[in-house]
Amino acid sequence: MSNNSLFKTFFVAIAVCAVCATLVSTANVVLRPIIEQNKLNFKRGNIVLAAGLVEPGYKASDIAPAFEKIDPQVYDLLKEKFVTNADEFNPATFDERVLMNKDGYTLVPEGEVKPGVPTVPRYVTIYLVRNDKGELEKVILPFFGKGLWSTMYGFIALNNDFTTVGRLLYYDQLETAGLGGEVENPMWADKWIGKKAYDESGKAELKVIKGTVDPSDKNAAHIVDGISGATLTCNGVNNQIGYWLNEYKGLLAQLKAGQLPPESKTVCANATPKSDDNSKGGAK
Amino acid sequence: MATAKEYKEAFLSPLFATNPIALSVLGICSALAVTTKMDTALTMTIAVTAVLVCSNFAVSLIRNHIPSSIRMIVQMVIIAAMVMIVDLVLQAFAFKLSKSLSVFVSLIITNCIIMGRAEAFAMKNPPVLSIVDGLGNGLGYGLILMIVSFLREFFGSGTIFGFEVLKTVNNGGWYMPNGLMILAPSAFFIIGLIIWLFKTINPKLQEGDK
Repeated sequence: MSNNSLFKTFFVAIAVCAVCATLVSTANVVLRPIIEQNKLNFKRGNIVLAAGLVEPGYKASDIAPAFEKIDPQVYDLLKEKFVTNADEFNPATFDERVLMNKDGYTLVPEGEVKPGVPTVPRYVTIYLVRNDKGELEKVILPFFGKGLWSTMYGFIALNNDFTTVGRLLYYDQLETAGLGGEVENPMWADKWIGKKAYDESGKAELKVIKGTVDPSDKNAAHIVDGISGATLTCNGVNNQIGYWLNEYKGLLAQLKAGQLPPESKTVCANATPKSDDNSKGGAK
Repeated sequence: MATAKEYKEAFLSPLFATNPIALSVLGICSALAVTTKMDTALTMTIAVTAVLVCSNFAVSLIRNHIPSSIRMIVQMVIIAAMVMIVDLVLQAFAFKLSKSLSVFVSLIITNCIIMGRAEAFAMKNPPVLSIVDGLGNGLGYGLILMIVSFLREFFGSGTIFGFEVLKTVNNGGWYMPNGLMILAPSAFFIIGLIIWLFKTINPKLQEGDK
């Protein structure tokens, strides 16, 4: 039969697609668990990095021992209280992203500054770091929202004065590589260290500006250098941070008053990577 | 059957004589994007070579059955599938590198070398010879990438494969890194110089005056 007959053209097109689709889906099914484990480990690496328990350039094997010092807690943003009933949500494995679009588990963002996403989860996992005496050292808050193209996910770590930024970093985003994607650049993330998240009156005040920060500016403690070529992504960053800092005010007030939830000692089955070979996650 | 000489030719000529970057000026986009660090350049080389070998083999295998009207679409489907698999493999076994390569892995699909070799070579030659051609072109691409990334990383960051060679001023040393080397235009200059070098060594490659 001629190669160019109608039948053969359709047959080859369908056959090639079927074979390729099978190969891709097989690879996806086989590799997905390893990829998910890598992603989880990468997220944990960023949590311990935000907590200051590891330094940038940490190894994959440093993550699990450092993560043991972290106390994950599920927090109800609507009732503004910790969920202490571990049956409902296990803080060690709870992932707010799973419930992000589920009815009954979401809130509609309100207020002046909005994170750019239609709904935010009602329950979020926050991470507490305590010292040997059980006093709170740092609190790590998840935040996210729309950038230019994608939803960006990050953590902000506050010191125990509840306003000084210990570290702020993004760990998952799909902004333009080299422009907006630079929010993941450790050099830029370092610029947030030591900034103040709230002003004297308690208003959330932390943002990226255009250009570089003038150290003599009276506002210099609340502003960070912009990324050139990434104005729209930076606008997203400002909206996210503004919204979430406002949202977390109630939580921070509770922590400030010393209302700490009991330490969650739930051992998490997949807290440690199966082997170091498939867990190359970690910041540069 | 192809002769031993043909195999040798298919493997060696893309390294220098018909190098895809230096002579055909294909695959430039990724050559600019991933050459600031040698480890990303090496991963990209391996990824492109893997895709090139597989796609050349697959296209060559069914070359006598591909209707000419949908020739390019069939090649594209095969290439896209290979790239998706390579992307998944990288995410599973080299997660950190896949993060730093980000979108450039998916963009291997648009790397002209792969489509170019499928169309120019694999459509006309038997499978094993096409594999050798894919390997040669992948390595020819990689050779240029490694030269460019070596120069850019060495002069731009003072490191080789991330190991500190020249201690930079920022780290308390003496070397003031050349910021231009970190930026994309430096890759243009270096590739331009490489093309000039190739054509000077082998004057047969120079195009005559029009």
